[in-house]
Amino acid sequence: MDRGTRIKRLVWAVLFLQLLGCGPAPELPPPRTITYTFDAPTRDLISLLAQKSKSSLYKNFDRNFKGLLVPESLLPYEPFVLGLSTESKIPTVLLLDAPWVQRYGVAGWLYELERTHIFDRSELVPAVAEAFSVSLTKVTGEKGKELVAVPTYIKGNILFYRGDILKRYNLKSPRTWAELQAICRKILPQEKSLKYGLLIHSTNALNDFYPILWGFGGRVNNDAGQFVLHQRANADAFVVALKELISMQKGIIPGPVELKKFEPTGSLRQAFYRGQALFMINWNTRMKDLTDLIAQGKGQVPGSLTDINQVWISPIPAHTDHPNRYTNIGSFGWAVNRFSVTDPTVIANARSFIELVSDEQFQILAAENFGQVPSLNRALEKVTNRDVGRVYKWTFGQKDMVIRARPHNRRINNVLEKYLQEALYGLRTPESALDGALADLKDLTRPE
Amino acid sequence: MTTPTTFIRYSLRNRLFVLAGATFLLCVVVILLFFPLLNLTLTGLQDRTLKSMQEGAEVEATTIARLLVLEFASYKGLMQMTPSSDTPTDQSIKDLLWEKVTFNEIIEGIELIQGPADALGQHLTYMFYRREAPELKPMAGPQKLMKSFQGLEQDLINSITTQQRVDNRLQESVNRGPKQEGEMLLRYMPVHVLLADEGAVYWGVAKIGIDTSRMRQLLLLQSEEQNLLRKDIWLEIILSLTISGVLAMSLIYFWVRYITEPLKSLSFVAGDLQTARPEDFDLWLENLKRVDPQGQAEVAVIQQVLRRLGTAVPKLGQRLIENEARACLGRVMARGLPTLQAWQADLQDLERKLATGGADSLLPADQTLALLRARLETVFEDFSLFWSKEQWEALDLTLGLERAWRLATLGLPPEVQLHHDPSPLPPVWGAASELSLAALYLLDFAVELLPPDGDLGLAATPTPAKGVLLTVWSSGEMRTPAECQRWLNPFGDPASISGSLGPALAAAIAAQHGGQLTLKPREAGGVEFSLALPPPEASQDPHELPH
Repeated sequence: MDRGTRIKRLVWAVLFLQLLGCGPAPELPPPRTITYTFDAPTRDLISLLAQKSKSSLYKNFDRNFKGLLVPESLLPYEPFVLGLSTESKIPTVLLLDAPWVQRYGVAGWLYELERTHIFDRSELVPAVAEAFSVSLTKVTGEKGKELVAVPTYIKGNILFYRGDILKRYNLKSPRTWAELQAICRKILPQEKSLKYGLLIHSTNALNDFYPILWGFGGRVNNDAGQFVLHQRANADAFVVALKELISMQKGIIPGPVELKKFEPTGSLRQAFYRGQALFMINWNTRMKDLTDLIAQGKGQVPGSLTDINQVWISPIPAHTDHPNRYTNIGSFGWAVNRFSVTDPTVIANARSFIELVSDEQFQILAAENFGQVPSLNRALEKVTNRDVGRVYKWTFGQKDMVIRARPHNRRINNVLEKYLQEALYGLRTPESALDGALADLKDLTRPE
Repeated sequence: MTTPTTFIRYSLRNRLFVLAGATFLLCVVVILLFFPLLNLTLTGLQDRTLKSMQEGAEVEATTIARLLVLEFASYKGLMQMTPSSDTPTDQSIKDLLWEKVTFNEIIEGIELIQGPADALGQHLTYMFYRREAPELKPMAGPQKLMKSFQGLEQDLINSITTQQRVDNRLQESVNRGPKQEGEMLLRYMPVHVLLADEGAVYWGVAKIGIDTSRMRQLLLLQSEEQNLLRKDIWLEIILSLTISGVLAMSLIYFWVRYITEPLKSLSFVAGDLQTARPEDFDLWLENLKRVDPQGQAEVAVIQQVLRRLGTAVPKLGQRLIENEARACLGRVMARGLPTLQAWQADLQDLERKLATGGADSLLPADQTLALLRARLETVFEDFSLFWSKEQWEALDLTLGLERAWRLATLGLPPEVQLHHDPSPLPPVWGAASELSLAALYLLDFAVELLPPDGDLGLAATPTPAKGVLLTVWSSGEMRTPAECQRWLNPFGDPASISGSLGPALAAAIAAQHGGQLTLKPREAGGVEFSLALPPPEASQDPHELPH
């Protein structure tokens, strides 16, 4: 072998050694985790999936994602308002109640999920996707609403009714308040076991009142979160809706005296279970509670429900002239803190987290075990829990159903609750209740 | 076409020196290009560091501001504050500001600005600044006042109040402009007061000034360090270049010398051949053998070829001389042949008459016969001289010149004017046959140039140095010195060797005998050869003795 050949071979050997791993060691990126707000139901479902699923993603959930427990003592103070308004990067992912999604979204604290490909909106039930969307025009300059949180289930107040009785009288479920009243007037005199036509909550009655008000065309806040109750149309709708409700106290809903009976927790569903009411406005999750009560048979009296198929559901009625029916959403959704998005890794991790906690099997498990209505179209198709399917089909899946969040402002809610209670208890007229509320919220009515 | 001449003026050694020097200079230039790159790198580093430090400072400022805002959030009393109130809560807020600003070096000042403004656009504001800048008067203490804000700052405060979100572009713009509070990094954050029954309720804006002097000092320090680094690297590189330059040039000089030495020696030896005389040829060949190729194949090959050529050339030269001598004698013979034949016919006729007794000449027949025979014998004797090999000795050239003259003029046309003026000559050292041959070469060449009615002359005279000067001339065409020189050196342009080599060989014989042949055109036309021979004692040097 001549010298030139030897040198050539040496050069090639040096070059190939690099390929064989003799080159400099690659730098390993440090492991990255993201933080999320910790809540018990999610933890329970993750634990269940970690046991049942073969996927290592659920088993290694705590390695990749760090849960932040929010002390209960802090919850009333809305600690994340302070954090996000001061651009804190922690937590990366937040579980937010629907009204807070609106509040945080409009303030520009939440990262848009659809445009950034973190989540595809088309996978969600359209009505619930709309409830978790806000306009980010002021923040991003993009027109239209943008999905800012991913709900893992659909929760809202709906109308429960005795389907077996309406069937017997060959009556359809009411779409309007007039129809509901007509049904009550027809059936109640003939069904002695029925003490009430309609049951609504006497505490937190505002949650039941919001869909009624929206069904009369009234709004307390507009889409941008601004207080608009004082505007003429809304104020009138408020008075009319309240008058309608109060008018039903004469024979259909409990009057001021009887309302107190329904202040204890669970009293409403107990009365409906015992067959005392023809209609009830309550959260859709009460379907599972009623199923459990029927199964337990505890406190059963003559006329009590014996089969969950006696219970039918439909959206809360609206005014005759109004095209839509409404539900006050009580779902939570996962949102991404805009200030934590500092690099693509954060986006990838957030996407991974949201995919896990809003996963199809995650939602199916919640539906089968807790009676939650999935928010994913795919999960809805695969759910075997018949009651969950019925709830979705006859309420949230109705074409005229609009899922809307109540105002996030606790002061507004507290004031309105106070005056609504006074009106229901006969202490104020609807007009006086409106005037009192507007007076208390005067500082919100000033033009900006 | 001057380039080739210029090109061959430089030796391989010089060329290697120049090329190595140029290569080194090129490397130096490339290395010096490192400085602009270094400057760019350092500038980039400074920019990145500046950006990183600014980001760090901003994160720090945001963190400090957030900590303060979280603390203000627990001040429920803020919600009750009015421009006219003067309560313990007012004082506690002022005290809090004083404590935060006074005891935290990094916090230059704090303003708590209530969100909603009054009819005059003034905001209820609590503020305290340390005002460390020399041009600013120190504040008496924390103040509560109604304050108006202008321009971008007003826009920013309004934006926070309406959206409860900081518009970072506005905040950056505010920070870029001059600030009446002094040089500091300002952070604006919404202040929410935490109320158990209402949650986080927006109150207003916290404006917090963060000290940036530390960052400036760090930047200054970094800039100084970079300058030092630049200077050090510059010095180190210049020093390295100087040392490496000296080292490189020394080593290159040594290596080039070492590598080119055999070729240089060979070229010198080969170059000597141009000026070597024939008698120096053996010495030149010996010198060629002594060149040491030092293992260089190219030098060894050239040396070997030169040696073979050097061995062959003398033999070829000898053959050439012999052949030229024969050719010269042949030409002479050819010119004299008609005359000799005439003589031969006369001789035969005379011999026949003598045999028959019919001779009627004026001379007795036997005398005429003797004369003719003598003539023929003279010619043959003249010829025989040029075939003999004689020893070198001190000799008289007269006889040899006579013979050469006779042979050269034999058979010339009767119109040719012959000029031969023999005179007594001193002896010279040499071989008679060769010197006579030299004279014959010149005469033969002159005859070749001679017109039919021209003049041919031969003169031999003693020189003042007691040598002999032989002059051969002929008339004819006008000749130039360059033409004469070409006759003397027909090998100067090997491609155009033609005609007789007589003058060149005569010159070689002259040189062999320590003499010299010169040739010049005559003013009247024709040429004149002058062959000067030294006296015997001058040409008897042992080195010049024939072998």
